[in-house]
Amino acid sequence: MELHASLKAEELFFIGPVGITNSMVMAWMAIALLVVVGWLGGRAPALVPSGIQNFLEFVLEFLYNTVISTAGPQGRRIFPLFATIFLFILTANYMALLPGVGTISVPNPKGHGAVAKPHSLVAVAEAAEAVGSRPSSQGSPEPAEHHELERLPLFRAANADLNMTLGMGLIAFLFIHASGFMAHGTKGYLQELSTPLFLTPVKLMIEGFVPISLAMRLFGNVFGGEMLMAVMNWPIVAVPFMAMELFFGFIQAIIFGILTLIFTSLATYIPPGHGGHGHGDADHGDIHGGGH
Amino acid sequence: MGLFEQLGLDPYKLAIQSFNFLVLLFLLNRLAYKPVLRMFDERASRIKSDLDDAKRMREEGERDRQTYRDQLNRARDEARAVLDEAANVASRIREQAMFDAESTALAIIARARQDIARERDAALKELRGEVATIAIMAATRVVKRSLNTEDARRLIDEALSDTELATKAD
Repeated sequence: MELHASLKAEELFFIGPVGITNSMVMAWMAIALLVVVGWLGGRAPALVPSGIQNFLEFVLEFLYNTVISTAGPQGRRIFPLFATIFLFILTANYMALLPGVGTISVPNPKGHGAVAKPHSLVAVAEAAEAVGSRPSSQGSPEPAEHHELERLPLFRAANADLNMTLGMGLIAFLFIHASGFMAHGTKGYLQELSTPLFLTPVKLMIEGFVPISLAMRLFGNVFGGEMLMAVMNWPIVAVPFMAMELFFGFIQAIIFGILTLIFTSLATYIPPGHGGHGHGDADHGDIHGGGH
Repeated sequence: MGLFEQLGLDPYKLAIQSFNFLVLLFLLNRLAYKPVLRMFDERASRIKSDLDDAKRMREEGERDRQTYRDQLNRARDEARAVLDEAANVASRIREQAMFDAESTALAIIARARQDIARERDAALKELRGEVATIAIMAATRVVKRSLNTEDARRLIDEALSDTELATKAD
């Protein structure tokens, strides 16, 4: 059996021109889970924590200490984004390992086509074979995923969709540079980016690739993991790969968050003796205010 | 655009997913991060305050203990002084009592001696009176019986003997 995987998330239904994909469904489920847990843990915090507040505090304290130890006191401003990135990626990655993800299917809203076994990755390959297309590895001019399947997987890992990872990457990118502008002032930050002058294009290119690299790294790892799990879908055999996916899910979450944290710290870094602009002072004030 | 198409990149979906993430960021920040971080701050401040209170109370306790120790030492000194004073007073009283008793005893003895002397003088005086009476009686007998020398002497001896007997009988 040859494996043809769909890089795109499958569209389950449409709202106007916008297709709602199975990765969006998973993202919403992860978001709902996080919001409910966050709400339950933070709705009436007690001085002596217990139950879900205890769990939430344990997680947030770990993240908070990570941020503060990396970025110093100004990390408090970065903390919400860092924590949300970490928690969302981790939750979405782990939810993707649950039974039913990729195996529960729904009818294809676009019409009838090949009959496929319901797995997001393998199904596409087998369905493509069923409709007689030639595998892409054999030089098929038409990618396998262009064929319409009769049924589509209802769930797909949220981070196995480049729109999701690139969206987070762009938000991180905007946050990094907004923080830089706030810390140095517009002129100061532009000077930072253009010093030395002859390296400015390189620096801009590097900065421009930050969201792309963040997005591609996460997407590639999660998508690769999905493929691995689809291929190694055997009893017992899948266990070590599942454990590996648990580990990589955590690592990917921490990498995305830590890189955002480090880039933000670098963008807002003011060397000792350089007073910085008024916004820098405002930042310092925000640290104690805890605002985002 | 072919690459974007193959990767599934779509502006609408990108916008929706970004919006999803921003909503999550907003909600978590509002519902979880702020309350929990506020609780961290409150707890840290409470712990700091409790530690400060504990330190202050320890210092106060130390001060109080020192005060009590000083008071105790003062009380001990005062008690010792009172005891010394009491001992002195008792000693003085004892000496005074002994002196008084001695004086009283001497006075009693002196009075007794005076009484004895007075009694002796009275007894002697009474004895002289008796002796004189006896002598007169003896003289009277001598005169009545024309006593010779030997009789006179015998009568005098008898009289004296009677006097001695009378004295002894008393």
